[in-house]
Parts: sequence; structure tokens; C-alpha cells
Amino acid sequence: MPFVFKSKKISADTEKETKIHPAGAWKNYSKVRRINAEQCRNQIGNKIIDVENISLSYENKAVVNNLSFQVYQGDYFCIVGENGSGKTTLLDALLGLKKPDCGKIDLLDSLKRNDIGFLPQHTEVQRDFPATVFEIVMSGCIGRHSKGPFLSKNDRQTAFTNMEKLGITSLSSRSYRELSGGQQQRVLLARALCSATRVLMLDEPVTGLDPKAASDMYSLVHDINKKEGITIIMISHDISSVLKYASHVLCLDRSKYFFGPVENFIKYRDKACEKQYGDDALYGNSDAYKFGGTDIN
Amino acid sequence: MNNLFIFLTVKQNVFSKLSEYFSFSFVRYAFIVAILISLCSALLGVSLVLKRYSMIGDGLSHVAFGAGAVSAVVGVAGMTLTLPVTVVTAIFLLKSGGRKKIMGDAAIAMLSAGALAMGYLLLNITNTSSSNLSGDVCTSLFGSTSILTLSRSDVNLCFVLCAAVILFFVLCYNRMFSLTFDERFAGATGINVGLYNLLTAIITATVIVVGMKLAGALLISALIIFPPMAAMRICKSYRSVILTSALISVFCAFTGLILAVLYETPVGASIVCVNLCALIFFSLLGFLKKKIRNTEI
Ligand SMILES: Nc1ncnc2c1ncn2[C@@H]1O[C@H](COP(=O)(O)OP(=O)(O)OP(=O)(O)O)[C@@H](O)[C@H]1O
Ligand SMILES: [Mg+2]
Repeated sequence: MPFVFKSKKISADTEKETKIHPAGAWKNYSKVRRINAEQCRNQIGNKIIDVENISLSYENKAVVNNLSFQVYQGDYFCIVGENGSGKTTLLDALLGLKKPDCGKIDLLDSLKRNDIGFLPQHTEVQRDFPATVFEIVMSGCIGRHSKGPFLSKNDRQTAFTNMEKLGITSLSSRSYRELSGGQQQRVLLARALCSATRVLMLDEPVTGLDPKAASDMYSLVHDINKKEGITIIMISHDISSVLKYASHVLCLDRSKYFFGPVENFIKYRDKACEKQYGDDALYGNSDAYKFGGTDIN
Repeated sequence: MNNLFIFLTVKQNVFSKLSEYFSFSFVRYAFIVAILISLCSALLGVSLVLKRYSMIGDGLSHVAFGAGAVSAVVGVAGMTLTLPVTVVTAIFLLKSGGRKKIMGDAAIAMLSAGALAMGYLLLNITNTSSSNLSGDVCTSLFGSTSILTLSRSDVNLCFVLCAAVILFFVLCYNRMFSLTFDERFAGATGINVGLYNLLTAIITATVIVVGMKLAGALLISALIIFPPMAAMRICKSYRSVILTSALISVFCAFTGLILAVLYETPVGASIVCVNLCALIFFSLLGFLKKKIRNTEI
């Protein structure tokens, strides 16, 4: 599926290139908002996450510097960037697993940590753990009712509903370690959905999935975003799906950050490609190579 | 016919011998403590094994031996010195056990050998006159008879500690599952990971120090590792692993202690050998189960 740049859609007064500086990007963003009001209307909710000038580091090795962005209820927010650019670290900070060195992350509009669901990056979960699918999905319910030590009937119901959504009900008593990678990914997504009442954070959800499973995953996430109004924050390397589904993009690349609606990202990306910045040419520029191959059949 | 007769008389002998033994309070104490300790060690073991912290358990028991030697030299009674030292070491080890796997491995090996050497050396230097040094060391390393010399207050202390540990594992069952399976997710759903790791460290140290009375410093880690490993051969859900592991552990401790009392074999070694048999038995069972399932398909 070759994708088409849609940059022509953007009207003349947003033509000015989005500044790398997040504040500039934000100004531009509000302009685009007015222009594309119709397109965006169903997406404008309250501001729920406000990240202001945060810096993140590991043992004095800086990973993210001075980054600001905002997330609104109902956004489909994608984070892109090359390996090691600090996407997972940023997500950790949003989840409250890592303290920023400076700056602050505000959860607004009475968003609480246990309204957030989380699908970790593929490699991190133990592969040979003796647990059934149901037990794992249920463990997503723990955070949302922190009252008693035991899980309730309500939680079982939530777990079943989410397993149904992902089509893994028939696996419910199977052992997690006997499942294929794609099935395991579904189980972990069901678990994430159990704890996601308002926000769902996904760290490279399609790694290791075949193209069909990947597109299923994308349309499922899209449905969750549109039908249930759950805000999606997704880290992805799959640039064509980002362009297809995202409403906003944050691009982390070494010292340059881009943040803005997806239309501006397309333009930003075009520019970088045109300039042929060497390896600075924007991330995801391998599409020409991908589609340039010859078909053996 | 003859054989049966002999068998019956032997059996009668065994029972009369046992009922005779059980009339002594110290034998009853020994059985109560053995069952409590084996229950705790099995519950703890599941978490430790699944988190790949088995080596930490082993290292800690050596540290406990070293601390025990020091407290014997200084002349402090019972666990007053051993328990705090082991707890502090456990906290330190489990804290640093995160990313640096290889370093952690070597560090633990060094720590165990160092503590063992230091303890033995201290005992040797300070104990020039006594003739029974090797007997003392043997007791604390292999726990040969110390379980049969418990006083009433020892039993009470063991009872309180073990009850606390068991209560913890029952009340925090769901949280411990989530933490063991995926610590980052657990943290993201609002479980206080640091607190639970701290509690796990304290419990590990407690179980080891208390359990040394039963099996000695060198063998206590076997009581922690064997039952979960055996249970994992046949169980596929977390709950069944926990329950089976607890059953195996209690059964093996009971059988081992009976054998030790009847045939005057060392207690710790007998229990560990019964555990080993259980592991072999369950491995065979798991193998057969797999075979049967394969032929069914
Ligand atoms: N626990 C850690 N300790 C020290 N450094 C770390 C740690 N985790 C990540 N880093 C470093 O921080 C940087 C960012 O890592 P991060 O995992 O956030 O990258 P990423 O953008 O998610 O990459 P990928 O696309 O491969 O998932 C990397 O250079 C990495 O080496
Ligand atoms: Mg990552």
C-alpha cells in the first residue's frame, strides 16, 4: 500500500514551516486547529497531559532535553524516532515510573495514574512464565480498584469483555508460555485495556506481528480511540500507519524535536527529505527503498 | 505370606516408634516449625524463582551463616544480630539486582564465599580450646539436629514470623502476581513497586534465617527452589503453581523429618533429598503429560 503525501491539503497560512521549538509548534497547531476545525472537532477535548520543559537522563547521560507537549482527551498521539532516541524513557516518565530531572508533567482534568493502561515493549515480559491468559488479563484490573486485596466479580467481567474484544476468549485457560508471539501481544493488550479507562499507552504494539495481525491491531486501536474516546499514546516505527491514523505526532531525534498535528508532520518530513540532510533525513525515509524492490512473482 | 507378616510388624514398629516420639514436646515442636517454614519457603520460592533471584537466596544464606558466626563470637543470642544483618544485605542485593545481571551474579558469588570464609575463620580464631568446633560448624551449615533442640520461645518466634509471611502472601496474592510477571506494568498501574520489593527482601531474609534452623545455611536455598521448580513441571497457571508448590514443600518437609527421626539421619539433608525425589517425580509426570497430549493431537 504506497502512501500518498497529503501535504497539499494544508492551506497557505500554515505553510510556514513548523518551528522545532515546541512553543512555536504549539502556536502553529492552534492555527491548524481552527482551519481544520471540522476534521478535528470530534477530537477536541480537555487538556489531560501537560508536559513542560522536561529533561530525562540515565546516570548523567541525557536522553531527552527540554521537551514540551500537550495531549488532549481523544487524541491519537504517536511518538516516533530512531532506536535509542528516548521514546520508551519518555513513556516511563509519563507513566510515573521515572522522575524527570527538571520540568514537570501534569495530569489534568482529574486524570489519575490508574486511568492509564500500558502495553510494554515486546521484549520485556517474561516469556516462560507459568500463568494462564485469564490470570494475566485479570492482573490489569488490580490498579483500578485499590480498595481490597482481592479482585471482584466486576473485575472478572471487565477481563472477559476485553478478552472478547481481542478475540482471545478461547485461549483464556491456556498457558501464556504456549502462545505465539502475536497471541501473547493480544493478551498483553487485553491486560492494558483492563486498566485503561481514559488513556492507553502502547510501546511498539506491532513488533513481531504479521502484516494482517498488525493491521488488525491498528484498526482495533483506532476503534478504541474513536468509539470509546480513549486517548491513545503510541510509540511506533511504522511511519505509514502513523500517517494514516495519528492525529498528532511527536518526533524525537537527537536534539531536534517536532511536535504538532499530523498534517504538519508530513510537511516537516517532506522538507527534511528534500534537503537530503544525509542521515538526518527524517526517520522513515526508507519507504522509497521499500517500494522500489521488484516483485519476483 | 511371610513377607506380608514382616511388613506388618515393621509397620507396627514404625507407628509405635512414631507415637512414642510424638509424646516428646520437642519432636512436636520440630514438626510444627518444619511445616511452617516449608510453607513459607515454598510461597516465597515461587516469586524468587520466577524473578530469577534464586542465586540471591543462596547468597543470603551464606551471609546469614557469617552473621551467625559473628554473633556467636560476640555472644549475642539467637537471631538478634543475624536477622538485621541478613535483612540489610537482602535489601541491598534485591535493590541492585535490576539491570546489571552479570555483575550481580559475580557479586553474589563473591559475597557468599566471602561471608562463608569469614564466618569459619572467626569461629576458628576465637574457639581455640573447644574440641567440638567442626560439630558446631556442621550444625549451622547443614542444620543436623538444631530443629530438635528448639525451646518454646523459639517455636513462638518462628510461629509469629511464619504467620506474618503467610498472611502477606495471601493478602498480596494479586499484587505479587502482577509484580512477578511484569514489574513495569505493575508500577504503571499504581502498585508501589519499591515498597513490595522491600517487603520481599525482608521476607526472604526472614525465611532464610528462620529456615536455617531446619536445613542449615547450605541447604535452606534448596527448600526455596525445589518446590516451585517441581510444581512448574506440571502446572500451567500461577495459582496452581503456588498451591502445588506449597503442598509439595509441606509434604517433603514432613516426610523428610519422619525419615530423619526414624532412621536418625540428618534432618536438613533428608528433607532436601525428599525434595529432590519430588522434583524427579514431577519432571517425569510433566514429561508423560506432554507425551500424552502430543499423542492426543
Ligand atoms: N535502564 C537504563 N539505564 C541506562 N541507560 C538506559 C536505560 N534504558 C535506556 N537507556 C538509554 O537511554 C537511551 C534511550 O533509550 P530508550 O529505551 O528510551 O530508547 P527508545 O527510543 O525506546 O528505543 P527503541 O526504539 O529501540 O525502543 C538509550 O541510549 C539507552 O541506551
Ligand atoms: Mg523503546
